[in-house]
Formats: sequence, C-alpha cells, structure tokens
Amino acid sequence: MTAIEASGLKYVYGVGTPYEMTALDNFDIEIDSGDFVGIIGHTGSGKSTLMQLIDGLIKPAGGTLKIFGEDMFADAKTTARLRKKVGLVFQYPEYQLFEETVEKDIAFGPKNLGLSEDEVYKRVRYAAQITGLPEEYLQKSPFELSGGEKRRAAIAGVIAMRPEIFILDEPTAGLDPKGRDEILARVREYREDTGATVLLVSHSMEDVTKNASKVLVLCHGKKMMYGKVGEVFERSKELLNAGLDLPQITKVFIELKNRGVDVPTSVYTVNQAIEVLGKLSGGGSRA
Amino acid sequence: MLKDITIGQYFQGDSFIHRLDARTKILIAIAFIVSIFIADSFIGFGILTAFLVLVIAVSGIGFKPVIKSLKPILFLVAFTGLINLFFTQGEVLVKIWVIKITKEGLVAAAKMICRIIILVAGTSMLTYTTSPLELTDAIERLLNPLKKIKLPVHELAMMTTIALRFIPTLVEETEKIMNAQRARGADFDSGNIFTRIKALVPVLVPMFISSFRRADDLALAMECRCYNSGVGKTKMTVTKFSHVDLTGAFVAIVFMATAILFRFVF
Repeated sequence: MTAIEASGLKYVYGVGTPYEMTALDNFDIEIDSGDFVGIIGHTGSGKSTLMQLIDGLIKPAGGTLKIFGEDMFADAKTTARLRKKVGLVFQYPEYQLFEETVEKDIAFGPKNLGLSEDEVYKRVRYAAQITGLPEEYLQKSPFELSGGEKRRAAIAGVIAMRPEIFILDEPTAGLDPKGRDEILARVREYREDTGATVLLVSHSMEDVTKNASKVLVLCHGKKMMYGKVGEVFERSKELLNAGLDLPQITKVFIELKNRGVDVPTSVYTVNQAIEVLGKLSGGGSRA
Repeated sequence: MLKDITIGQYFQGDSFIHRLDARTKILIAIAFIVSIFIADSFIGFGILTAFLVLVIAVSGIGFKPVIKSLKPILFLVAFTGLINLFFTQGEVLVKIWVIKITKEGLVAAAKMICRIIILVAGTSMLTYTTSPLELTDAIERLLNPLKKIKLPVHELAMMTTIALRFIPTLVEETEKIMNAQRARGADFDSGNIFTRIKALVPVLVPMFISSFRRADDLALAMECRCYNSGVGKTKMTVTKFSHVDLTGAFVAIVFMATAILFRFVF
C-alpha cells in the first residue's frame, strides 16, 4: 500500500514580501507503507518543509498530498484526522517538553487523541519501554534528565501516539555516538514492532545507510533521486556535486577504484565492504 | 498567525526613505504621531494618509507588509471603535433598549479608527525601513544629552537592540514549538477563551525556559568578547545629517503642518 503520495507539491515562504522563497517545487513521490526512508539534502533543500506538509502543519501552495490514499488537505477535519496517523519529531525535540513529570509529558499526545485513561497509561509505558526510559524516570521532572534522556522522553511523547507514519527530523543532532546509535535502534525497534513507515531526515550518511532501505535526495526544493540505498550512493558524483557527503566506506571504495583496485563503488556499509574485500582476497567472509 | 507579527521586521532596500538618517526618521515618526492627535479632522487624516502612502511608495516595500502589520490590531481597532460608538453622549440617532448610537459617537469612532490605523502603519514604516542597529544607535544618540543626568543611555540602547534583535528569533521559535505541540495533537484554534489560554501552556513553558537559556548564552558570549557597557567605544559608522534628511524633513513638515492647519483654519 502507498503510505504517502505527493504530486506537484509546492510550498512558498513569505508570499507577498521581499523574502518570498520557494521551498518545495513540483515535488512528486510515492512512499510505500512500511518503508524506512532516509531523507538527505543540504540546509534549505526543503526537507523540513516536506516533513511539515506530510504532518499537515502547513498548507501547500499547489499540488496534492495523499496519506494512505486520502487527500490530506481536503478540509480541516480530514487534516486533523489524518494528522493522527502521522507522528513528527522535530529537531531538538527536548525543547518542547513542558509538563511537571515525564509521564505527563509523554501522555500529552495520547490524551489529545481522546484515548481513555487506561489506554493512555498503557501507551506511556509502551513508549517509555521502546525508548528505553526506566520506570522510575516517569515521575521525574523532564528538566532533571540529561540531554540524551530528554531527547528520548520527547521522542516517547510522539511514539505514544502510535503513528503509522513516523517522521524524525535529525533525531541524533548534538548527541554523542553512543546516544545516536541508541536512538536509532529505538526507532528501528518501533518500526519492527508496529510496521510503521519511517522517514528519517539526517545529515549523517552513516545514520541513513545503517537504517534506511530507501533514500530520498532533495536539492533546492526538488527531488533529485529516490531509490534503494545502494542505487543512490552509486551516483556518488551527482551527490558530491549537490554538496552532499557520502558514507565514509563508500569514499574508501571510490579511492580504491581510483587507485586501480577492481571494486564496486556502490558499497555503503562496513559489512558489505567486508564481503567484497573477502571475495577479492580469495578468503572467506569474516562476518 | 504569528508570522503576521511584523514589529521589528526590517526590509532591506536602498530607497530615499532607507537612506534617511535614522534620527531624522525617528523625529519625523514622533512628529507624525503628535500630528495624528492634533489634526482632529478627516481632511487632516486624509493628508497624513497621503503622506504615508507617499512614504510607502517611495520606500519600495509595497503595501502588502503594511496591511499585514495592521492585522494584529484589528481587535483593538474594533474594540475602541465600539467603545467610542456606544459611549459618546450627544444627538441620538438610533436607540435600541439601553444602547444608543449618537451622531457624535459615530464621528468619534470613525476618527479613532483612522487614528489607530494611521499610527500603526506609520510607525511600522519606521522599523520596516530602518535596521534595528541603526534604530538603536539613533536612539542612543538622540538621548545622549540625558547622560548628564546619569541616565544609562548606552545600556538602554543595548537592551533595546537585543530586544528587537530577538523578536524574530522568538517568533520563529514560538512557531516551531507550536507546530511541535500541534504535531502531538494540541489544538490552539478552537474552544472558548479559557480553553485557548490553557492550550498555550505547552507553548509558554518551553518558551520561558528557552528565553532564559538564550539570555544566559548571550550574556556569556558578550562577556567572552569583553563587553564593558560601551566605555571608551567608538562607532564604526558615524552618521551625519545630509541634504537627503533636509529634503525628507521638509516634505514631512509640509504635510503635517497642513494636516494640523485644517483643524484650526477651516
């Protein structure tokens, strides 16, 4: 099933002022239900705009956006109803914490969904467990937590709404390597548990290659590429020209090829690299 | 909704209005406000509006941002209009139960509405065409004589600069947090006034916290750069009055004087 379908989507900031800017232009995409899509693009390429459109927070200037086959912007009621299927975690989500306790903060979303107290209680426990927040943390003030824990509490606040489409805008920004892997592992766990469609915006190519099955590349408000991870990173020249980075392991393989070693340049994870190099040296795979 | 707040916003440009010394613009703006209140006739308001239209046209900003700046005060305009309409004594035109509309009330309401609209549109032209830096620098220089009576002019100017500088930042941040809470199902646009106020708690608490964080960061950054309240500091750009200011001031005075004259002469 198609989870998200956009055609001719357009968004313009500051209409009628000297600061008018087209953030998204004639954008088409089809994202299948259950996919894990990494979204990359330099700053100002329209990533955040796209996220907010998919959550129905802003209205497009043109084009259509369908969530599970329904038009997101048909009318206000439809938008409100479809938004419940979408969970959006903004950049630095810890800044949106406001309640007295972590439990109350996580419960904010599910309560707004109009769920029963029982169900809210269950969902808070579920979200806390998925994000790895210990039970005793639930009664703490969110402002007592460490940076990484705050981030997890904020993400739990969205997971508790059990979104069918789960969008994360740079969830690992400003975290240490351990915190990064931890958060992304939690996201993967949620997806495996619920079969949700996940969109992950990230500047880290490693984060994308390790987690996503497909990659969407945005450039100047337009779709530049959309396809399987290997297919996208194979077009390394185009990515570099667009001012984007490549996974480090891909860079190693491009350099190897430049130096005359016969290797494919579509390698994007360390495990693939081990496999390829193992074959090359005639030995077996270490992994 | 919040994007409509255009106070403190500056539109870059190189028009005649942009080139005027900020001090001239401030003085003209003050004179303009005063003349709105002295000129108590519709012809006077007409002349002041004509002046305003001229300023907007010359500035090249366009009428849209100016009209946008009026949106947030619609409620205030309606409120003062109604108060004037219903509570002015005089010749009764319509009377329904205890509410009566008088001829004088009608005139007073119309005048008040004209005044507020011209006032807000006029003063927003000042901030639209003057960068916050120029603006506070000008305020500092205009208030300079008050240093003699130990008024901390520089500190006041610095505080104004910082306040103005942070308006767009805070607006942007509020919008972000509102969107984040909206994404969690918060509803800011329906319900009665009390539900709406309560709905703002999830926005206000994070805003409060982040303001303190920002203030802390800013203080630290200023200290790192050895900020010492402008003791012995010189200016990078020394502004001077020029013939442009003379022309601008002359045009402004002609318009305002005619507007005021209409009250007394005719």
